[in-house]
Amino acid sequence: MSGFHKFRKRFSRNHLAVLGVAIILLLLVCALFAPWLAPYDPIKSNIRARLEPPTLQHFFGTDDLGRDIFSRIIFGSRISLQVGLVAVSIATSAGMLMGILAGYFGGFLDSLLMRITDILFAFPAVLLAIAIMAVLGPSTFNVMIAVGIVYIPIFARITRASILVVRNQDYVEAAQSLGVRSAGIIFRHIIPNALDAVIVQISLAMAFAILVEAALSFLGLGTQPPDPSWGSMLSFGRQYMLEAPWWTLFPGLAIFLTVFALHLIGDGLRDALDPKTVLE
Amino acid sequence: MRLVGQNTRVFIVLIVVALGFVFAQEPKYGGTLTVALHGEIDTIDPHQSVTIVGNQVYQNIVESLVTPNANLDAMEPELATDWTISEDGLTYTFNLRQGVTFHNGQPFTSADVIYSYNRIMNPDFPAADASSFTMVEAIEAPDENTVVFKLAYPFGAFLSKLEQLWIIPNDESIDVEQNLVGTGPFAFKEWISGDHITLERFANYWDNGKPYLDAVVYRPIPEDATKLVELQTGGLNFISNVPYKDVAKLEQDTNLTVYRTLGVVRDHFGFNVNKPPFDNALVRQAMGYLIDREAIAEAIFEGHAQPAQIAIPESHWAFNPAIANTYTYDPAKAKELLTEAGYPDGFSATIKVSPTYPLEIKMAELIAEAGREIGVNFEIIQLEWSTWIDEVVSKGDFDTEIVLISGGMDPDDFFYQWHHSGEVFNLWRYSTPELDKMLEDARKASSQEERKALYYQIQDTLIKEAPMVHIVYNESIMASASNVKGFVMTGREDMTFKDVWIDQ
Amino acid sequence: MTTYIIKRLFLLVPVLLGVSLTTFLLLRLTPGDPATSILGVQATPVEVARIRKALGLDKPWYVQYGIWLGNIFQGDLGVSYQSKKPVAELVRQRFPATLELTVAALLFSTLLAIPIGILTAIKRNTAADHAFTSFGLFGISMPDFWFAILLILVFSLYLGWFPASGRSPWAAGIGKYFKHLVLPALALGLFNIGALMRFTRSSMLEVIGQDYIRTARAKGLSENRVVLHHALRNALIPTITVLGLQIGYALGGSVIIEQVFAWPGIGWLALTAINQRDYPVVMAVVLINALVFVLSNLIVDVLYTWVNPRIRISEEAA
Repeated sequence: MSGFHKFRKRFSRNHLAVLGVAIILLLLVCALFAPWLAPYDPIKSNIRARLEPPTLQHFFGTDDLGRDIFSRIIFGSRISLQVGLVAVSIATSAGMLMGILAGYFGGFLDSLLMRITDILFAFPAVLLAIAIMAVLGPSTFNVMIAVGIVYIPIFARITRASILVVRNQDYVEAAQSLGVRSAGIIFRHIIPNALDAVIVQISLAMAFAILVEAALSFLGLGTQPPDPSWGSMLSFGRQYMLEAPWWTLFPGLAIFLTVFALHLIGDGLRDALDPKTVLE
Repeated sequence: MRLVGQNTRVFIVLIVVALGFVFAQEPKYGGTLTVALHGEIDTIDPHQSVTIVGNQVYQNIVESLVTPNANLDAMEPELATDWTISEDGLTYTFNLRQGVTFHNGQPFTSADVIYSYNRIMNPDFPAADASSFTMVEAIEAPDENTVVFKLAYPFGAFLSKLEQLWIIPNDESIDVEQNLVGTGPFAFKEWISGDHITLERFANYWDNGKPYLDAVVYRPIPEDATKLVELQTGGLNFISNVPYKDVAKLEQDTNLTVYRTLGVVRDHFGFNVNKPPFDNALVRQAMGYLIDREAIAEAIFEGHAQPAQIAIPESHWAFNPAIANTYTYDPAKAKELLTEAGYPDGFSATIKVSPTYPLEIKMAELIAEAGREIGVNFEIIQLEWSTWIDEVVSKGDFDTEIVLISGGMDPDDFFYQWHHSGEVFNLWRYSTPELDKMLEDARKASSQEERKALYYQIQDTLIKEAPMVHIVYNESIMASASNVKGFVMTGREDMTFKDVWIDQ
Repeated sequence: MTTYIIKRLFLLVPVLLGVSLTTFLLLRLTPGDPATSILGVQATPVEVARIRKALGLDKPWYVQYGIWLGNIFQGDLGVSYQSKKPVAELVRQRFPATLELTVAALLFSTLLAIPIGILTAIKRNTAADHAFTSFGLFGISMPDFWFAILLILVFSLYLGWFPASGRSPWAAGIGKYFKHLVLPALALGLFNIGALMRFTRSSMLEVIGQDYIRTARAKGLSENRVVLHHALRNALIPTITVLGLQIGYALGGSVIIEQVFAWPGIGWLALTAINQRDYPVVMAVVLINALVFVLSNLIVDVLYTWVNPRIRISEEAA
């Protein structure tokens, strides 16, 4: 049985993880087919239908400008998934590169790169994101960059740690003694082995990215109106939590479900990738 | 219909106020007023503070020679008992109130006025309002109880500017930045950053028997929901900036009193006249027809706003009735004007707003939506406040903007600093020699009739040239526990507590 | 051990320098002018230039940084551009509030999370496990400001159990002090509960699967004894590390919680200071945060080796 099959078997035995995948797939469908799924234009206001509770016309009710919350959540899935994916791509690529360089070559380069991650770590995450947003200016794309930067040190650390384990193992030493070039060793032996730990972290980082987007929206630094992001819906709707609870309840649930699903997947991946885990 | 309804409500409020006077109770002494501030104050120093919250605190500690009445249309005596203005409008002589002492026991004299004035005008001092006094040529104190201002040119609004001359004692050893001393009804006790500012009753206050409260405690609470719950649960007994959507709810609560005025707080949609397509007056006029003011008043303000055409309120003596209702919601007309201006297919532009003013973001959303209908594609950009100022005010790097403007008593306040060439507040960079001359003449003209005629012309020009078009006048809303009595709201965000008492 | 600690303390210097330099550069790159936020929007260019000169903002950035650094080494954090208060005084007034909140949140989350973590590990794959695991995920998945406002509406407005905002001094009574602390600590702690609980669970699971636990069981020791005496001690060691990291995160996470609850801590101070371009205040807050973060990690690492002498101190650990 190949490694992948073993992995798939282990993963699919974990029902919660499968549930997580199902939720994320559902979101992907929402994001891809948003224009067909959403019953209304998400940024079209309707003053005569302000703050309507959930009905058959408006499944999730309407906001203070009479916009359909259901449609906004469907379109919002695009933004949330984008933020998660792009931010994490930035963080993993930069973080893994730093981790590999530090872990494989060691020495001064290692110390230097690790001090840089220490510095990034020592910043309070939200403050760092705010500062980066202040410099870059507000836009959804800049949110992705800011969140990506915040998450770089975590990936760098994880990658480095797993590389330190792999580096001294027999097959790597054997390859080195056979004169295989560093790049070859890194790509063929080191990255695949470090990837496990990184993959587990990816889903958690995506979850974190979605929450940071919400926090930045709370401060007005997130997605720009009228684009619907879940975070900005929560932020604008929070003043109406008594009068129109649906305005925050549904985007809140959407964030919760997504983050929840990503964590379930993360857990499932960890269990499936960890050979120590006993299948029961 | 909506307008009639609103007037009725205002009328009812007036009746309630009138009944209040009929059954006026004898004020009681004692108690602490715990007040929410919308955010942390910048500084306690009245000559340096530039925030509304800062003003809301220090206006209970320090006083000026004159103070505006509640309607903001005339200046009343405060530390000056009366004054005379020379025939040529160049010399203002003030007789100072006698028997006034500062919180530190020092008696108030003309030397304190001179000292305060010199502090503001010191070129090395970062005063907030030095520009208010550029017309003053000299200040003199012929005796302890008299102060004379000599102006370089007649200046109709001089008295209203004098409000900014907050009087502090003539004593170098007092560190005003840390420990403000004044003549006001309350004395500064402490400011614990982020936590509270405490003022204590000043027993030797000149206005006999006042104030009634033992203390005023200010707490910065930026989150509206938190502030409201604190008021409803008794943690606070006075708040300002009540969210519009909560007004009706609070008005129904018998434990609370709501204060509302339609004053000089206003919203506008402004254009950078140096940038195409907004260098074309027709395009700017078209924008005036894109704003559904009624819908904004209802959806964003829950009815607590009125459509606006110009900065100055319609009730003001200088308001030009001829401009009323010029701009209405009329997308077809807007489209026509754009075609005439050479933009039949519309254009793309940005609207710069700030999360400091969230309602203005919603206005931008509604305007952007109306724009889409006629091919104008607005992108909304939220800038954090300091950045907004940097880009819009300092650099002029914007297409259009929406921001809240507040304040103004004399018509000069509504027009000169906003539209004269080279003024920092002329965000829109509209400048013509003709308008400059009208603004200068209106400033210097001595009779009200003469000034009125000039301000009528100025309003005609601004409506036609439309460097900005107005959206709505907003109500200012505050609320207190119902046992808090005697508070009178002005048309601004003032929170003076000298007459306030608690019925306990 | 002592040399290790000294070495680690020595490594603090480049980190703190790096943090301060990064903050400094970020602030200078941020649009917006401290002079305008001091003088107000209506300030003329002449006035702005004058105050920039007075604050030394007209000098090249490296000179400004050098001056700031020089002052720091003399223990001078500067004066706030806005409030004109010494930054040291602001920090003295506001840091304790954040520390209290963080400690309360951590205590609260630890007390809940570790027992739940253990329970879910022992009762693995039962209904209780799934329920608590979901609850833990719930904590990690909620945007904090939303949860905070929810708490205020439920516990302050409807139930009237706790005040909605502010901090009460010790002097005003211990009961009152704790009442004010409860809601913000809950809001801040929620995220930690999830994270800690999950961590405790997984390290418990790992330990339970190991040989010596099996041996203990085989010897016929009672299940409670196995769990409490053998498994727990070993499982808690990695949990301590996470706790160290959490202190740093909680300090940062309190930025928004403090604002919602009007809690007078340094997170909210930093937020206001960034908005007002109050450079000396931002510099001081970030530096102190970094210092606390790095020191708490050091303490955790030391504790770690002390609790578990089998772990060799890695030269690379930092």
